[in-house]
Amino acid sequence: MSEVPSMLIVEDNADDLNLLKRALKKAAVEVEYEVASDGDQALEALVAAVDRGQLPRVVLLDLKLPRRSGLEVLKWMRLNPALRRVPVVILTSSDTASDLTQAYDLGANSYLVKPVLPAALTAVVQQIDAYWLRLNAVA
Amino acid sequence: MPRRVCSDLAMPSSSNFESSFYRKLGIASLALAAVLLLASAIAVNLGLSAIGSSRVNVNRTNAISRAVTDLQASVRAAETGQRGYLLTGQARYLAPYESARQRIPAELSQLSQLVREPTQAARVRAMKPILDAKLAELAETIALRSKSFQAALRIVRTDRGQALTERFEALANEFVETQQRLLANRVAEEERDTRLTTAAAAATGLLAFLSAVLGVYLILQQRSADALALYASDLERQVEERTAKLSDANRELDAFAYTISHDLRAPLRAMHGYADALLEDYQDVLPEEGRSFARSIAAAGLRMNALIEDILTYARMARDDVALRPTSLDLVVNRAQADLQTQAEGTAEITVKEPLGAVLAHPPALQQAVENLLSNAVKFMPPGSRAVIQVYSEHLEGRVRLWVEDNGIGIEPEHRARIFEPFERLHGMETYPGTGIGLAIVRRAAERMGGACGVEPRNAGGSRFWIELQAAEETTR
Repeated sequence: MSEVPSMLIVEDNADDLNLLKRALKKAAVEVEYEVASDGDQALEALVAAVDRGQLPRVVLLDLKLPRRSGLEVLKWMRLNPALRRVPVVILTSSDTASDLTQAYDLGANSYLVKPVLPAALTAVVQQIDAYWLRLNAVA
Repeated sequence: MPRRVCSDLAMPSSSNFESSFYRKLGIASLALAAVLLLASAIAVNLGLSAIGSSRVNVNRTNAISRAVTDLQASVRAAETGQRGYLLTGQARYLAPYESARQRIPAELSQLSQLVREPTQAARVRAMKPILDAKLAELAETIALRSKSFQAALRIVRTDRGQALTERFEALANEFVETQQRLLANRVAEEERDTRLTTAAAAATGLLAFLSAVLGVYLILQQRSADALALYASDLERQVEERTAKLSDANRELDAFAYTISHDLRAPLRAMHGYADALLEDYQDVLPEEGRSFARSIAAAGLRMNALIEDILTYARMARDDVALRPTSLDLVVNRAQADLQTQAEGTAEITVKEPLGAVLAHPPALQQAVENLLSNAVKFMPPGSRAVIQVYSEHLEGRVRLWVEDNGIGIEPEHRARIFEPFERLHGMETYPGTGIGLAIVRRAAERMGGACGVEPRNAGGSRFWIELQAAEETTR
């Protein structure tokens, strides 16, 4: 990673989170990340990030959340001009869930099947890097 | 959307029944019956009074006849008395004459009082002078006789008396004839009145009865039609309620299944994930037993996951609304084969005799059923043998039977029915792993698609499983 990255992980399940953190370590993804454990917390974190002028590099988003669903968070993000272009990776328990199709319709960029394997994580990270490169090149 | 299932129920949907037209007609009919009864009563009343006056007429006519007969008798009696006296000169022979002479005026006056009919009245009036003259003649001859037989005889010989008698008799006979005719008329009139009255009463009575019967019948028809309509609409309402309840139940099942799917899987992920992490990260530190434990945890997690998946598939197949489409068996089998090959890594030889044909099916359900049959065929092999599987189809009347023939361990006759029940396993987990729901899913899928399934032994060992569905004309998939 070239810059000081930041990642927002939105996940309410402690086990899924633990295994995700382990996968990040195994995949040698050295990033600073924030964790939000429900939809409202996710929105608060995003708003704070925008205020700081420091957008997250990627948001790993679980869909089944208490208080506000992941799809709502995604929708809010895509309506927000500052956050519209932040890549979102869906964390899903099944790759055939109908939620995934809905998430793609709302503007998700990619997905990871839980429990997240380091190899899959590496692939996604590479996609994110490429994405930002393209975006900055255009800008 | 609730389905209307009783649209072919024989409902009296004619608007006549709904607007109670027949009830109104029935009431009108009863009213008509009442009116006819009233008319009948009036007719009978009129008839009876007509008969009454006819009877009076007949009685009068009879009285008149008797009166004129009496008068005739009196006149003859008077004559008899006169002749007797003329012949014998003895006063006792005058007795009839005397009494007749007194009677005749009274009788004549009574007759003229009775007679109404104009021509008859004229005749009676004509009789009076004749009878007066006759009586005068009789009196004259009788008076003369007391003096001289010859003188009396002379008057008798003039036939003046005879002429008067003849004139009277002629009038009286005319009168009697006319009277008899009148009587006949009056009797006929009375009979006719009686007949008419009877007929009118009978006719109106019968009509009244028929109207009443019709009225009652129509009202009853209306009643039963109303009852039927009420019953039918009640039935429809019940069906709609039940269908709504059923679709509610289905929605609940879906929500339930979705929740189970998600919430049960989360701890399984954790189990499996941690076990894998343990194996990967602490392999060197863990003794062999420890590694074995970790592997067992992971395997248990996988089994539980498979079980949940199968239960969900089985539960979802319980729903009624499965829309059938023409589906290519060839495509379904090919896809199942492809999935299996990736899993089995080519340790099985599957031969498919194409073309298999097309059936009316629910594609996901059929896919699941075929995959289960194929994976069973590959799995249940004697250890160390290679699975050789044949897939072919048989075309029957309007149906297609897909056969999956294997060279596996076979199934004893006493178990052939059992194995299609959920959770029925013939072998321990160590020998042949599985959830015990695979064939139950096949059977349920077949039933939902209007078909059937079963198993037969294979002569050379192994089993021949079959699933039979309705044939389709052409394929759209």
